[in-house]
Amino acid sequence: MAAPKVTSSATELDAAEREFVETMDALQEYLQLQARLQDQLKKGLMNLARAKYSMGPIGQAQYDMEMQASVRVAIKSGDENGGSSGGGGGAVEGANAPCSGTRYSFEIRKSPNAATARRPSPPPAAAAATMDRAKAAAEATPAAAAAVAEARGSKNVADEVAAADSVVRLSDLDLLDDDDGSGEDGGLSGEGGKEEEDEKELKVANEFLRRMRLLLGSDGGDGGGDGGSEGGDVAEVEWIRRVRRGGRNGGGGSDPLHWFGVLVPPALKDAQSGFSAALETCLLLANTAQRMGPLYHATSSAGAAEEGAAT
Amino acid sequence: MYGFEMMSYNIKDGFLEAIVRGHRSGLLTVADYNNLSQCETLDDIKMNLTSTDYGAYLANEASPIYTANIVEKCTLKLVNDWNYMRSQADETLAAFMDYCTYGHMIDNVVLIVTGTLHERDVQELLDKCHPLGMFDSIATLAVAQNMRELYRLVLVDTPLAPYFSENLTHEDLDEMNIEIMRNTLYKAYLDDFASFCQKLGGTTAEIMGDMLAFETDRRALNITLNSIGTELTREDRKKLYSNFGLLYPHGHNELAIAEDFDQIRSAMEKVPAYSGIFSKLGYGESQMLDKLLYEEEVKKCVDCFEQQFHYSVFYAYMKLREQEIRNIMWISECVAQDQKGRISDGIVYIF
Repeated sequence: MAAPKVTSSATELDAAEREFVETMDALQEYLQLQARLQDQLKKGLMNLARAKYSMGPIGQAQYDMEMQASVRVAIKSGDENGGSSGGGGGAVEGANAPCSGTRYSFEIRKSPNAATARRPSPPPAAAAATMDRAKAAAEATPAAAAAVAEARGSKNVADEVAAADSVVRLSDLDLLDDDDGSGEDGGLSGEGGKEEEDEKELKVANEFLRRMRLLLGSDGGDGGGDGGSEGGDVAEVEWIRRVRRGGRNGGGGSDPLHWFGVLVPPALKDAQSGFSAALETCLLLANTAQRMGPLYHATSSAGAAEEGAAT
Repeated sequence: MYGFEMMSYNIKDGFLEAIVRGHRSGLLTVADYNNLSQCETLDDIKMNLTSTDYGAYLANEASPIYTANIVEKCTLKLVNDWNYMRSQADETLAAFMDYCTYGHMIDNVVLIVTGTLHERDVQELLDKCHPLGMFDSIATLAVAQNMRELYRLVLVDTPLAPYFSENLTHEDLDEMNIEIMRNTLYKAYLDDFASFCQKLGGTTAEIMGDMLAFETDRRALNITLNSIGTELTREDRKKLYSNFGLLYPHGHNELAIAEDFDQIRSAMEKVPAYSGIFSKLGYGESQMLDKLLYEEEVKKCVDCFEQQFHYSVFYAYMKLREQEIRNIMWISECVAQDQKGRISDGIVYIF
């Protein structure tokens, strides 16, 4: 059997060797990062167990149903043709590699901790995401400045909507507060006539009963009931929930650690920071895998081509 | 009066003291813990526990079994034992046993209010409540919007009513206020429990006084440790400390201004009873503190069984069972996470 003929030139061989060395470096880094991730996860889970030991059982029952992501991943894709999204193409080393398929780079973006960004949740979140992508696009292609301006404009609109909503909610809250305020103060401070106190207490109690009925009704009333009144009831329940939410400090931007209480054991805080670090390690792993992936395919496809030439 | 309890205690409470001593002898021993530590999987743990007092509760659990299931079934045993004794308890003992469960009641109230704040379903929250702390109107907590409503519309008919003070705020229930409410209620509860025990007199007063003093000091220490780095102000922190205990009042003044673990340590070491605990900790290290405090508590509880004709054995039994459940939880977590080397970091041996 004859040895395979060497058809590539010296420079091509050099380039292939360089790529091979880079792949090996990336592979080593990948394995180190994997070991680091394993370590971080182990520590995090152990801290979680320790926190359970100190404060009793903790679990998914304490999650906030209105939770929002505090960390997002921005994905920049790098086509060798500098494709439509175009973002971050220069950042990807594989732009001049003879590889197929797009390569991505992953970056962490921490969401701003602002109450205005919270409600109404879908539009600002969508606007933020599009802003990220638009920003990524604009980094590489200056001509897309218009797109960025548009995204910024849409974020302003979302802000205004959120501000308007919070104003509406504040006034609702005032209304309810007035009812409660006069009722409660009249009841406890002992001022005013006895009949006035009784009336106000009655009012408060009736308000409470109405709320209870609504909540119980909305929970059980999926199957039937009149359309009109049920629609009205559901709207009122929504109003109650909105009012209650409106009174919370700051809202959704708060630290998820506080779902478990404010005075949490130090082990739980350690677990939180451990898992955040693990998240960053995951991102690094993904980026390193990207560096490895296409080169791995290139070497394997080049090997197959040579074998094909030999036979 | 000391000594005369022997003459009258058994008339009403003799049977139940015998029952609780029987339960106490069924607590896991060092040999049992060694067997559990050598398990490789959670199913092995379940198998080992079926030969103990927990047998009937875990035998029918289907695999795969999780740590949370094991803990739940073991807690069920404590609840059943407790309810059996409580249903047969005569007047004074019944009041005492109820006092022992008010702590769980406070935890349940906080659980429901916090869960409602996070828009969770009330039924789901009720399932997570501790069975020993349930009361009839607990589900209606979900509708209250501030502390005043919470008190006037729901809690006024519960045993927790006296623990709310008159100066209730209008403020909406957010996470910080709920935490402050929890600790304020607990403070009032411990003060009340301590004075109730003093009124009972005799051995009960002496032993319970000691155990409750330790409990309140431990809570003060944990509040201080956990509030480092949070928004809780020094004045608020001071208001959460109880009005009795070895740290009252001078230790509390020092703890209130402590800002890191070493300052806490220097405040605690001034009390001779706690300097022994802190001397076992390395400088700057705080992970083992929980275990050391639990060890101290277990020691007091075990000593409590040395004397007869008093009610503290019931309180001690509850604490020892809870510690045992905590041990089992720790072993299960270590086995599940494949970190058996850490098992000894968390077990507190009872005998």
